[in-house]
Amino acid sequence: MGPRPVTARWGRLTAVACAVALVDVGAAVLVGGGGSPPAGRPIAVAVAPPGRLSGRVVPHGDGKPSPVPAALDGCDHNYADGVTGRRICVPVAPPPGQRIDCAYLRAHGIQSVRVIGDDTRGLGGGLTGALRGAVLCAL
Amino acid sequence: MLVAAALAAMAGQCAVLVAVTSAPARAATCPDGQWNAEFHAGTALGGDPVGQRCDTEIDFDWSQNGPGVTGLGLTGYSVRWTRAFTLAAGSYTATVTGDDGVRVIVDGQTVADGWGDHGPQTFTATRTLTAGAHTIVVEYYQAAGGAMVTFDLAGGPNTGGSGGTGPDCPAGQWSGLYFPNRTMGGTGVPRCSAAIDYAWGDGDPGLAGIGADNFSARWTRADTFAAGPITITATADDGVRVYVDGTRVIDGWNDQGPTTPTATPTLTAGPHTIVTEYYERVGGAQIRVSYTGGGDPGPAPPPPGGCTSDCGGSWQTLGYQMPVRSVHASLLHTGNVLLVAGSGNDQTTFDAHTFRSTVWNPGTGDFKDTPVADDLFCSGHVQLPDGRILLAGGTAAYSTATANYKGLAKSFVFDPVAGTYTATNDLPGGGHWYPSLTELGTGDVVAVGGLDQNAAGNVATELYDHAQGRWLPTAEVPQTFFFWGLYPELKLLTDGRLFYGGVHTFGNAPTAAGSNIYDPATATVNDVPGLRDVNLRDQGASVLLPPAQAQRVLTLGGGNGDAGADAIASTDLIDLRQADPHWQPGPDLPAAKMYVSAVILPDGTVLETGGGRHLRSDPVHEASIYNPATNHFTSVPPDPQDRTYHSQAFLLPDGSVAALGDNPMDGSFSTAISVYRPWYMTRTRPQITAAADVFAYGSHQDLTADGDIGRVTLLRPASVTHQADPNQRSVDLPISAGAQTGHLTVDVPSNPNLLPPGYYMMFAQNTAGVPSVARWVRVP
Repeated sequence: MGPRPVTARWGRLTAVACAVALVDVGAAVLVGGGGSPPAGRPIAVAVAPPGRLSGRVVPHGDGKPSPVPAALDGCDHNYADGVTGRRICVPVAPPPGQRIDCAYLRAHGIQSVRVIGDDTRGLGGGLTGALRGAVLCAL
Repeated sequence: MLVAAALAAMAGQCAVLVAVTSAPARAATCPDGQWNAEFHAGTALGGDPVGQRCDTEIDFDWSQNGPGVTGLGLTGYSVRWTRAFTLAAGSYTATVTGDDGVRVIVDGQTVADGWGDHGPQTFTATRTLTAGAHTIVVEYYQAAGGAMVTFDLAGGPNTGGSGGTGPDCPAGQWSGLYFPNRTMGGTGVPRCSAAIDYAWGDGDPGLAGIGADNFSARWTRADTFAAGPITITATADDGVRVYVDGTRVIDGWNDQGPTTPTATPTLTAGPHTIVTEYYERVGGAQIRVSYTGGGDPGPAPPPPGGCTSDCGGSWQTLGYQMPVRSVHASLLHTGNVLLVAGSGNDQTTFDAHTFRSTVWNPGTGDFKDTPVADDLFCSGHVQLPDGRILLAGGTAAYSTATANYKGLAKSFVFDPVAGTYTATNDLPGGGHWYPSLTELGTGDVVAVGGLDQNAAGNVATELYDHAQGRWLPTAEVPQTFFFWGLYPELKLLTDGRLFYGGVHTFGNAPTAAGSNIYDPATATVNDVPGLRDVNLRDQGASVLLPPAQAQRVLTLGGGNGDAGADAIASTDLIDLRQADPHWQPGPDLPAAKMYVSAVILPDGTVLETGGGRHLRSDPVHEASIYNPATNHFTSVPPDPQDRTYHSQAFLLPDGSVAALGDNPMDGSFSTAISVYRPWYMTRTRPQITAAADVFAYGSHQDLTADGDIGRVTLLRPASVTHQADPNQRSVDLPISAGAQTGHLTVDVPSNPNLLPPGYYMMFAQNTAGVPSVARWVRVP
């Protein structure tokens, strides 16, 4: 970098404690906690003893993927747009006091739907639902 | 007293060159207590050393004559010193000064990093070390111009002599040790406390083994101060002593009734260690110690000034639209914005294998299409220390009537300057559809959550090593095998842990408590109690309130699209500086909503905007500004556009806020861009006219600005999707000198967990609270 600063500047710089109040890596060594240490290298430079937290220590998983509910995004993907075939989101659960029917869908911009799986929402009416490929809710 | 680590007394150098020929020189063994110095041609410590010698200390000025190693001149060389220490357990402070780059590595971990071209700058790091052998490495390089380097190590067993160090306590707390004698002898009983303020009377401190009489205690706290005098006040019955950095400033070490001595030491700007010692013989017992100043990390003063009239600001829908269905937005240090659609939640596009992104220039309205090889729709992303954007995960398959989406295991780095993507290695833990990426203070990145390649919940914690530029094998990363759900917002705390504030995407909370503290170093997850409506936080917002030093998080709104629930208006607050933090209710939002965007503004407030009441429907246009200083929402004009699912809002460098995207039930996607101009956009703005480009940790930076400056902040550029940016933060830079003169000095925090490395937008607010436009600085 540039020329060495004058003495006064240098003195000030060296006097100033530009300290890094770094957190305590040593604690990662000192705080063992219960059970076997996890495998792998430390990935953070600091820990605080978990024992200070009153909240439950969440048990480790077994390494297996977690099951998740179907239609996780809240959409019933048995339906596509009735005209364009575009992917749409027919809600699995209606808002309080409402039901998922053609009026609800039309009120939210879906003018018709094509059944591409099963008519799980019963949009076709009746007990058995509409067949795959049926276009429903069209005015 | 501080126990120096046997370096201070050492002088001179043992400049015995073992090898100075052009042939590679191998390290020789140096005597105990000396440094093994290896000299390299070039500034990168590359190749074999061209010289080696033993140094008794590191204190060199090579500006005039160079290091005296054959093959090295006045510029373009580097040196690595290595030394083994045998240390007692205690707290040690390493201080290194260099022109140019310096860094200190303790037992393989970089603790002080000033690796960059600069004039003489000092960096220090304080660590608690276990008893035994430790290896310290000091690395240095000289680019050009002046050349000097010094190193010192100080510290040791706890100040005050016997008794050892206290417990490790959260930042800002006193680390206390209590002894069943008046001399602080033996092993103490630890306890952390937010304050020393006890009136035990004839009782005892409430610790096993410590009686009501004949006991003593020592409390230690590290705090950061502005330059100038502070006042320390101690009230004790009986004896009390107070030390600042090992110097006794209060000495009332005798039997006495309640007595209140004071001291007014003058401190340099920066961190200092305060130690209080106390003993009780018989009778009444009390101790109270307080001091003025301090506060990092800790609550910062509220921002200066503030709007008093015509405060609403305004929205404008831009006259052009974005050319992609942007689901992911990252502000780049070039001032442009990377907008990533991938397939953009359009299965036709996915089936056509057409994955889009574009770089938007908000100043000109230009877009530059930048295709990407894989579908980064529903990836996670974060800025890396060098300003590039790391993107990971995405969509491997769309959902069907019977199966959920499948996660992609691909990862890319986007270079803002070149405008190109480069693939990294795949995510070792498999696919991640909806992962969250959080940068650590080390510059590495943790990724968790999302659906894997089989549409199941991915339980792997992934770690991107930014120095190696790759994702590490999962076996090298501590694993909880805990499923964090989708887009869980994990925020980095000042002690390196990660905080989950309850906001995620889709359905119920991934954890029973709805909020957690995750220590990635030990793979420990704790519940954090008190968050309300834990299963109604689907696509709410969670924001680390400004300033980040205060370590307070606000969680706002949310819903549960899977359950069809109404969105909520409730907010909750938590102070993470507490040893055992609990959520507290906050004020309600002006309107109940999910799909909430919360954007930190450069005046120290938070804009909340966008939203909907139900799954991908019933838009909520109301917007408001939350003031952390008053804990109050003030309504502002609404975004004229619907902003529900797949919306993004983020701060631009001029202080305005861009809002994008909307993907309602009918599958359409809004490409309209709206921009909110807060109140200060119509005021005369201060300007930062001069500042360095690089702000090193712990450095003091000179700025030139017009007007009287009341506050300077660093705001991290957004990298946001699904309204969530886990890395959003605003960090105060305390003004240590010259605010009223146009030339001021600000103190850069020394804790990388508070200020993770990367580019930041620096704003200066005048005393009326009006912020400048941003000036980009890099925190290396």
